[in-house]
Parts: sequence; structure tokens; C-alpha cells
Amino acid sequence: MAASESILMRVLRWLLAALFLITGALKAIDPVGTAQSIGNYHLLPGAIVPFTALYAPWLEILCGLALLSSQLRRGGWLLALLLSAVFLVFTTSALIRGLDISCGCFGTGQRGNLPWVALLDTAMLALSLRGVSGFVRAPRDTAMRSESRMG
Amino acid sequence: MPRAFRELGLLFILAIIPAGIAGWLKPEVFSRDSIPSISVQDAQRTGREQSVLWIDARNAEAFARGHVPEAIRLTNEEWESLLLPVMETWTPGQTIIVYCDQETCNASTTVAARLQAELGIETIYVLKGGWSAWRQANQS
Repeated sequence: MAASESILMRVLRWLLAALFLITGALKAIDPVGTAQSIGNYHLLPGAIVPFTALYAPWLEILCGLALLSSQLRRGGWLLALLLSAVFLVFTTSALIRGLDISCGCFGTGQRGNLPWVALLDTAMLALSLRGVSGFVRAPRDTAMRSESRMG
Repeated sequence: MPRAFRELGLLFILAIIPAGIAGWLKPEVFSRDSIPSISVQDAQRTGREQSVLWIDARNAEAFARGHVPEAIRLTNEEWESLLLPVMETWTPGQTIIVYCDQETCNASTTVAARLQAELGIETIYVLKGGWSAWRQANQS
């Protein structure tokens, strides 16, 4: 997969990895603030919020590291797809309900512009989809190539 | 594809380790109590019975348009510059009520949580419905 990856896709993957690493680290250093930010969305039961605040930032960090590695890259793309989808659901629901909250995307205290955050989440989701489709399609293409060579 | 799911599963499991350590190092995340809220009527009653410090967590423009009498501003964004006047006004034991624009804003909760966490202030409330509820109650 790495050999067939275009330069543009490689740069975008690095950018996505950096984004997950930065946002994950900012949230991981302040789990109490992260819990507050998650709670402000009023989407999760209160009992789950602290666990999510502790766990999700590390998933983001690991996602960033996996996207940079060659061994766990496929899992990294899948995790990026999952995380981006969850972020988009949270942001869109806040927008629909007209919540005047900070997104909590870059740690606490940052007053994120929710429409822009939704746009960023959509871009991340699209990129992750492209990344996942890369390795879903790759084995099929390889099989077709070997079949045509044999034929 | 099965390999991708195996890697995903591994990432999910790996994340448990640092998350568990973080929870052990920061147990306060579990005792994170949400700041109690108070209705306008109860807030006014409290204000008649005891001394209350009103904190407006909105921006300067909104504050200039109107605010609760004797309220002083404190926002998360201007924390360093606005905290000193708040501390000079507040007397130990005095109840603090923080408000922002309306029901769906979270600036008041953020400021109240920060006051509670950083200064250990216990008698602190968030005004239910915020400034719009106050204005409505005092217009009728």
C-alpha cells in the first residue's frame, strides 16, 4: 500500500496524523476540562463522560501514531474514519440544537466556531474514507493484475 | 480488510493502558460534579437573604448592553485580567451566581467550574436560563 500511495495522499496522511496527535495531546493533559467539554454536548450519560474523557484522547494519539507507522496504518485509517464520524455527529448535533458551546476540539477554553469545525470534521471524514478505500481496493487490484498476467 | 480490523482492535486495547494511568493520576475526573443551577426566583430570594456576588460570563459588548445589577465580568478567555477585581469584591463564604446569555450557553458553567477548581469556592451556582431568563423575569 505504501508504494502505491501518491505524494499528495502521503502529505495529507501526515497532516491528519499531526492533527490527531495535537488534539489528542491537548485533551489528554486536561481530562477534567475534556470531561466538561464532552458533557456540554449533552449527548452521553453523565456516568460515561469521565471514561470517554480519559479514553478518547488516547485513541486520537494512537490514531495519529498508527497513521505514521507502516505496521498499523490500516487500523489507523479505520480509527480515523470512526473518530471523524463521531466528531461530526457531535458537532452537527450541537449546531442543530443551537448550543452555544466551545467545541473542545483543541482542549478547553478555545471557543471553536462550530460550522468551521463541522467543515473540518467533514474533510477529515472524506480523507479517512479515501484512506480506507485505498487498502480495500488494493488487494482486489493486485488479484486482477496477477490474473491478467497469468492470462 | 480483516487485518485492518485486527489493527483497529489492537489500537482500542492499547488505548486502555494510558487512559487507565491517566484516570489513576487524575481521579478528580470521576468526582467532576456538575455545577448546581439556580432559578431566577431562587437567586433573587437568595440575594435578599444573604450577600450574593453576580458574575457575568459574557463578552464586554453583551455586558454593556445590559447586566444584572452589581454584576462583574469574568470570562474564561480574559481570566487573568478579570480575576483580580472578582477576588477583591468577593468575601469568603459569599455565594456566587454565574450567568451567560441563555439556557444553551456554557460559558457560565466553564467559569463556575474554574472558580470552584482553582479557588476552591464551594457556594457557587449557574443561573438557569442565563441573562435572558433574568431579563424576562424582571420585565414581567
